[in-house]
Amino acid sequence: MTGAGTPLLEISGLSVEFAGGGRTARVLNDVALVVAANETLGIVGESGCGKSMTALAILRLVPSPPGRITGGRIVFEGEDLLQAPEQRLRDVRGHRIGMIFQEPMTSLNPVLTIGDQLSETLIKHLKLDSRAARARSIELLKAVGIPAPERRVDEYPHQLSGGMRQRVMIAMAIGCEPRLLIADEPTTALDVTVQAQIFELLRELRARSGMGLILITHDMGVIAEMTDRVAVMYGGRVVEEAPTADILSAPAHPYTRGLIACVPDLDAEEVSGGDLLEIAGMVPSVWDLPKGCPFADRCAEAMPRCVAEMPPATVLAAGHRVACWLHEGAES
Amino acid sequence: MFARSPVAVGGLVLLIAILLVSLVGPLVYIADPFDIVAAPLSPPLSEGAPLGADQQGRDVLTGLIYGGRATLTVGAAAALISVVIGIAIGAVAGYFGGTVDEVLMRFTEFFQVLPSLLFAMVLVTLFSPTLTTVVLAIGVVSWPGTARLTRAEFLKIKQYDFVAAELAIGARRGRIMWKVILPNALPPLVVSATLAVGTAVLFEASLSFLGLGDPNRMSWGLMIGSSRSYMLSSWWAVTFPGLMIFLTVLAVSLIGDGLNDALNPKLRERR
Repeated sequence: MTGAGTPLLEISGLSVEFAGGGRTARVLNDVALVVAANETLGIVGESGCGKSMTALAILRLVPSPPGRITGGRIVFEGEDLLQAPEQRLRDVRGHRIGMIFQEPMTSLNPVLTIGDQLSETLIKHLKLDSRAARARSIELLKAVGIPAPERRVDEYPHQLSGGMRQRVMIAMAIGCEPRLLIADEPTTALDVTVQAQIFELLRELRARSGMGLILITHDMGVIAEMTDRVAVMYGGRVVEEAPTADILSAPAHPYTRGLIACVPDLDAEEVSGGDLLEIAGMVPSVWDLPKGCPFADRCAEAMPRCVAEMPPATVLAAGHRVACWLHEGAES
Repeated sequence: MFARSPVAVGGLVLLIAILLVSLVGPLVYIADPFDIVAAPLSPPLSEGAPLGADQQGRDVLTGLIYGGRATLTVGAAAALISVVIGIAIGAVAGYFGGTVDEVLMRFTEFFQVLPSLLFAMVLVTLFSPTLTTVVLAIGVVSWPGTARLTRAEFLKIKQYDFVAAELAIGARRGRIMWKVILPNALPPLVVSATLAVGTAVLFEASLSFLGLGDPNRMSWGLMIGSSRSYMLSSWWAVTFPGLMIFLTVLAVSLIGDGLNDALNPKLRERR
C-alpha cells in the first residue's frame, strides 16, 4: 500500500531443497516477495505449495537436515538474513520478527504457565527483570483481549480454550513489538466466530504499530478481507503476485482464477442447486515436479509449451506479475 | 492421583520405614555389625542375637540395621549415575538426530548387549571393590535403557509446535533441550529412574553375593554372600537380609508403578 521507500522485507530468488533417499526435492523455487511496513501481504495456495516453508525460511528455521536453503536473499531492514550469523538471527527471531503458528493447541509448552512463556521472550530480548516481564505479560494479555489477565497469567495452556491460546500466541509474537509479524494460518484450528475475532485483533494490532504482516492462508475469503497484496503460490513457486483488488477483479493465472472460482458465493445462484467448483487433479509431489509449469497438468488452458518450459514472470500492471505463458508479451 | 492408589502409598510407607531403620537405626542402636556377639550360627531368639548369628557369630539384626545404608546408598547413587548418563546421551542423540544419533545409538547398543552383571564384575575386579567403584560400575552398566527412552521422547517432543515456537522467539539450543523438551519428557523418565533404584539394589546384592562388594562395609548383599555356604543349615543368616532386599525392591517398584499411573496421561483418563 505504502510502497514508497525501502521495503521492510525483500525476498528474492529464494530456493529450498529437501534431501531424502538419495533424491532432492525443490520445495521452494526462486521465490520473490516484498513486504512494506504497515502492509499486509497474503500468501495463498493449497497445502504443500510452500507457504509455510517460506515463513520458516524467513527466520531460517527450515528443518535441517533434511532441508537446506540453497540460494536467494532475504533482506530484512537492509540486512540479508541468509548471510547473518546464528547469534544475530536469534536476536531477530521473536524480537524484530514475530511468528504465529497454525496450531494453538500444540504451540504452547504444556509444562509452563502462560506468564512464564510470555515472560521468556521479554526477558531475553528486552532484558526486563522477571517482575517487569510479568507486569508486561499481563498488559499483553489484556491487549489481545483475554479477560481477567491477572488470573490467566498463572494458568497453564490446557486451562485455556483454542481461541484463548491463539490470543496468547499472538501476545507472545507481538511482545517485543516486532517490525514484521508472520501469521501462518492463524485460524485454521478455530471456530468461524473466533476466526473473525482473531483477524480483527491482527488488523487492530497492525494499524496500531505500523508493522508489516504476512498472512498465510488457503482461504480466498480471508485474503479479500485482510490483505493489501497477495502472492499466489503453487508447487514451490510464486505464480502470481498483485494488489488484492487486482487479483480479485482480474486474476491472470489460471490457478488463481480456479482458487477464486472455488469460493462459494452466497449471493449467486449456485447456492440454490449448482455444484461447487473445484480444481481437478492433485498438487504435484515435490519429489517429481515437472520441468515446465507445475500447474500444467491441471490447467484447462495448458499448451504443449507449458509442459516443456517454465514461464518467466511477466509484469501486467504496476505491482502485478504473473508466471504464465498465456500472458507472454502482455508486458505493460 | 498417586495418593489415591493404595498400592503406591503402601510402597511409599514401606520405603520410608526401611529408610528410617537404615538411617536412624545406627544412630540409636550403637554397635559394630562386625563384632562377634554370640556363638557361630546361633538360631534366632538366642542370647544377644534376636534374629540369630552367622557363621562368625555376628548378630544378624545388627547387620540388617547397619547394612541398609550401604545397600540403599549404592542403589540411589548408581541409579542417579545411570539416569544422568542415560538422559545426556539419549537427549543429544534424539535432539540432533542424523550421524550423531547413529553413533550414540551404536555406542548404547554396545553397552546394552554386554552381559551387565559380568561387565560390572570386570569393572569392580579391575579396581579395588570399594563402595565408590561398586556405585560407578553399576551406574555405567545400567544406563542404556534410560538413554533409549530419553531418545524416543526427544524424537517425539522435538517435533511439537511449541519447540518450533521456541525457536521462532530466538531460544538457544541448550535452552530448548533442557528447559523445553526435557521437562515434557520427564514423566516416563521419573518412572524409569525409580525402577532403576530397585535394579541397582539388586545389582549391589548380586555383586556382594559373589564376593565383589566392599568387604569392609556391612551390606545386605554381603550378609547373604558370606553365609551362602550355610544356607541350608542356618536359614536365618540369609533369609532376613534377603527379605530386606526383597521389601526394598518391592517398595520401589510399587512407587514406580504408582508414579506411572499418576504421570501417564493415557492411564489418567481411565480412572
